[in-house]
Amino acid sequence: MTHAIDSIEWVHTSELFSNSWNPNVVFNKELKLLEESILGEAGWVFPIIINRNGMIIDGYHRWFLGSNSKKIIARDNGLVPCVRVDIGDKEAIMMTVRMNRAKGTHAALRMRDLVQTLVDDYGTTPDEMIQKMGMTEGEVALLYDGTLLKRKNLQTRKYSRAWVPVETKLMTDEEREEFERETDD
Amino acid sequence: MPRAKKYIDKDVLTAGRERIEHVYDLFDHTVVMFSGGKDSEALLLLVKEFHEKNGLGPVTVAFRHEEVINPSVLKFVETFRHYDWCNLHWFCLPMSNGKFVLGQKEAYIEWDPDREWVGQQPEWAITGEDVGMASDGQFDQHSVDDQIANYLCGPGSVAFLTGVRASESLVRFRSVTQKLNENYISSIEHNQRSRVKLCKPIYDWEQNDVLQFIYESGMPWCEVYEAQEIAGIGLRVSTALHAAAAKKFKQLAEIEPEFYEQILEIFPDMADQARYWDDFDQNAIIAPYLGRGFNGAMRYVEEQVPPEQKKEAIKRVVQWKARYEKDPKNYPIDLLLKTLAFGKIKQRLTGIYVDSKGYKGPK
Repeated sequence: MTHAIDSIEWVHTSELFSNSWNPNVVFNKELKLLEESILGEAGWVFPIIINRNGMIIDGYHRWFLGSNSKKIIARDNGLVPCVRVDIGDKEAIMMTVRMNRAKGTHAALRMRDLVQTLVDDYGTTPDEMIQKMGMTEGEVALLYDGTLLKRKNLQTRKYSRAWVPVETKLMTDEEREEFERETDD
Repeated sequence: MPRAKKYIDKDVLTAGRERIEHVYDLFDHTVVMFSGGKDSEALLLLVKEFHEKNGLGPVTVAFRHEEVINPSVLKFVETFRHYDWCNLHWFCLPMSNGKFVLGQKEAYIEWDPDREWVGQQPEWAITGEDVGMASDGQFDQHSVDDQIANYLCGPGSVAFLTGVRASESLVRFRSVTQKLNENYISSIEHNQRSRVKLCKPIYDWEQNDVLQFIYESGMPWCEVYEAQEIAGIGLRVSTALHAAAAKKFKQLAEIEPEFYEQILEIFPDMADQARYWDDFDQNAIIAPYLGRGFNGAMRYVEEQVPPEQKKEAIKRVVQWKARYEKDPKNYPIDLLLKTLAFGKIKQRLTGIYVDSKGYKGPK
């Protein structure tokens, strides 16, 4: 079997483009740390993963630094190490989620946008998302539907009984003990 | 005397409507305190319904922007400025508050003029200066309501309607069960003489009652709830530094990452809370003091509470002891210890069911 990692190529950052739906987040402090790491003695230790069109699947922040850090550009002439995976855009989206779920921080609302894009624009089925992105059925439904209110089945529900406070002397000690046994958490 | 719930033969919606009518009969002015959260939204919609039914015009609404509030909540609240039935007043007042970092509550001032802010005040904000505060002044939780009432209302009594619900915590349960008559109308704590009274007409609503009423009203709710549900944390919109919210602070990165980062820039110690709270051994901290009665609580205060907070902590112990003597079931000593250490309130509500046919017992 050949692995994508078997061939790493150096690609100019201008040939790559980011996806707008990446739900993974890296904060400024971490970005600075990443820049220091790339500029350190070991240099690049992880390649950027791209699809056949140059769309970034994993490594957006490395690409961002490769394109914007003056020190990295000066050293590497705008080239970044890449592994190219021969897949289309829909598969790339799902691969991004799969990889990020294992290691990163997800922004929930971006994830919702992503799921809606997959269903509406790419015709992805819930089963596909469950299988390929490690999601649960409920998660897919919640993210796609987007409204928790609709999912509570409130149409058929009746309002709770009202209550007023009373002194517990209304209860005998025995009743109270029994009640507390039943309600103790 | 310990308190319990007595269920009555009407639903919470009917009871809530009757309580609102009663509040309007009693007070000269009414203001709905809106946070952008689901509970105060349901209350606001209930009051809107009352105004429409009685031709009372727009509802007077106050939103207290506590600085460290999720942008999605602010965006949602902002939409209410544009409803003609809603006369929304947006307050950004310097006020003392506490932030929770690894078991310690530290004081900070919301909208402190001496530091950078998390976000900006909108141009329509009513500031401390607008309500007559000195440039270096600050309010506290007990005095801020008076200032808002003085700004919004003329002479006379004032009702601040809030969406407080008993089922949220033991503290809230107590707040609506201390009195047996008009139990949902109370004075401001430590400010009994204020002309402002706090009214909680939906105190007995459960979360699904709130959701149901919003759903039936056809109104949206704050988008942050969707994100919180997706992230698997409780539904709440309060300031992110508050003890209850801070315990879930790490998950804020999932919900509103840019906001999370803004907070860390202004309050870098919140990063410690995000990194280590999950592994923080809470029980180990209080274990030596548990089961030793009020002496254990006092020893905890002596040994663990920072000097500047000792006085307040001792006051808390003394208050708790007085309440424990009257109602030991609802004021257990171990809970005091957890409250002192983590602001932790265990939800343990007593309740009985008494209907019109005389049935009495657990519901």
